[in-house]
Parts: sequence; structure tokens; C-alpha cells
Amino acid sequence: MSIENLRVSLQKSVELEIQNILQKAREEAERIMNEAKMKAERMKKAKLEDRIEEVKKKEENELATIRSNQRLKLLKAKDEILQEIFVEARKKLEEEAESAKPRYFRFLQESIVAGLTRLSGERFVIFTNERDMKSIEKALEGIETKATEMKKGNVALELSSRNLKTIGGALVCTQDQNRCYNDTIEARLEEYREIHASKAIEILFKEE
Amino acid sequence: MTAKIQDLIEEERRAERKIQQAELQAIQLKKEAEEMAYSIMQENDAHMEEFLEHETASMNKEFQKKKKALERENEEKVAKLMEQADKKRLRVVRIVVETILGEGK
Repeated sequence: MSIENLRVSLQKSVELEIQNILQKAREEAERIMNEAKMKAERMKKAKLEDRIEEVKKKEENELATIRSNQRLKLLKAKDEILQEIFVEARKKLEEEAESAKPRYFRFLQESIVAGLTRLSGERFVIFTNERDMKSIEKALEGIETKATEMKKGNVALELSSRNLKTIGGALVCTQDQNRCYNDTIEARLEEYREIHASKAIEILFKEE
Repeated sequence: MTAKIQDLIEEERRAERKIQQAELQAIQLKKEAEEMAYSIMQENDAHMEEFLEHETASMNKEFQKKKKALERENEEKVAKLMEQADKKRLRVVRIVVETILGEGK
């Protein structure tokens, strides 16, 4: 090989090596940049995911509070309407008691008999309001007979002259007044409220 | 002949210098890439909070819509239930009165 050929070959080989060095450097630079871009993207994604989770938790808490408040509001509204119904029912019952209709008189007698059958003993005292005393007085003998039949034993009744503060119904006590059975309208209303209020709610709020 | 060999030796030295320059250029390229990568990360950090705030505001906007819809839906539901209950009010009063007067304990 001539010296000239050697020189040309050397130039070519150097050119190739330089190209190779620069190509590798460019690739390395590109890799570094791409890695940085990807890392930045990953970081952004991770931070966004964290933020989404944080916001979702906050939203869920807020929604739970809203739902809870809504339930409370509905419960209050239901309770209010129920209270109004009991006020109206009490008013109607008061009107019924004052009207002296046979239905009320039947109820009055039945409430006394119910009390008598629930209490043990033979001698009882009946308490009613002043208005009902007169009606009971007339029916006392009949009530005594009915109670005697039902209890299968002697029953002696006394009508107390003490005015019971009630809109209607009766309070039946044993002679010694140790045990009493309260069957006034107020007691029945209270019992209805305790036991059957859910039934009333069901009728009122059943979706149609 | 000696002069030609001398030229060749000179050529070799030039070639070596060129290679060294290329290597220096390569180092410079890498350095610049690293600096740019650093600046990408810095910029990413700098705009992260702004980006997150924007995303949060967007999510919040959607949530407010959802919240309002839920509140409106519930108000309508309660109003409907109350309207229905109001219609049945007299019926229930009658049931209560009749139960109390008509049945023993």
C-alpha cells in the first residue's frame, strides 16, 4: 500500500470513528432527554392520581354528609307530619267524646271492661272525667254484670267522684288503688304512637 | 519519501486531534442533554401545582354539578313524599281514631 493510500484510509477511518462517536453521543443525549420527559410525565401522573384520590375522598365525605342531612331532614318532616296527625286525631277524639255518640259510649264501657279483665281482684274503683261520670253511673250495673261474666267471679264497682283530667276513657284501679289500668284516650293515643307509628308512617310515605 | 512519511505522521496527529474534538463534542452534547433534562424536571415541578390546581378546579366544578343534582333530586323526592302524605293525612287520622275507639288494648 502506498503512503497516499494509507493517508486516505486513515482519513476515512477517522471520519468513521468521529461519526460513530457523535452518533452515540446524540443517541445518549436523546435517551437522557426522553428519560427526563418520561420521568416528568410519570411524576405528573402520580401526583395527579394522588390529588384525584384526595379529592374523591373529600367528595365522598361531603356526599355522605349531604345524604345524612337529607335523611335527617326527611325524618324530621315525617315526624312533623306524624305529630300533626296525632294532634288532629286527639282533636277528633275529643270531639267524639263530647258528642256523646253511641260509638264513644261503647268505647267508654269497653275500656272499663278491658281494665277490669286485666286486673285481678273483685272490688274496683273507676275514675273518669266529670262529663262521663253520668253515663257510667247509668251503665254501671251492666258493666258489672259483663265483667262478672268475663272474669267468672264477683265484681263490685265503685265510681269515684274525683274528676279525672282526661278527654275521655277511664282509669280502672283495684279498691286499694295499688294497681291501675289506664285506658284513657290519652293513654291509648300514646300506646298507638309507640306501637303503631311505623304503620302510620308506612301508609303515609309508601310510594305509589 | 521521508517527507511523505512525515506528512502521514502529521495526518495521524490531526486525526487524533479530530477524534479528541469529537469526544469533547460528545461530552458537551451529553452535558447539554443533562442540563435540558434538569430544566425539564424543574419546569415540571414549577408547573405541577398550577396543573394540579387546574385539575382540582375542574373536578370541583363537576362535583358541584353532581351535588346540586343530588340536592335537587332529594328536594323533589321529599316534596313528592310530603304531597302524597298530605293527601293521606285524613285517612291516617281516621285510622288512628277508629283504632283507638274501636279496639281494646
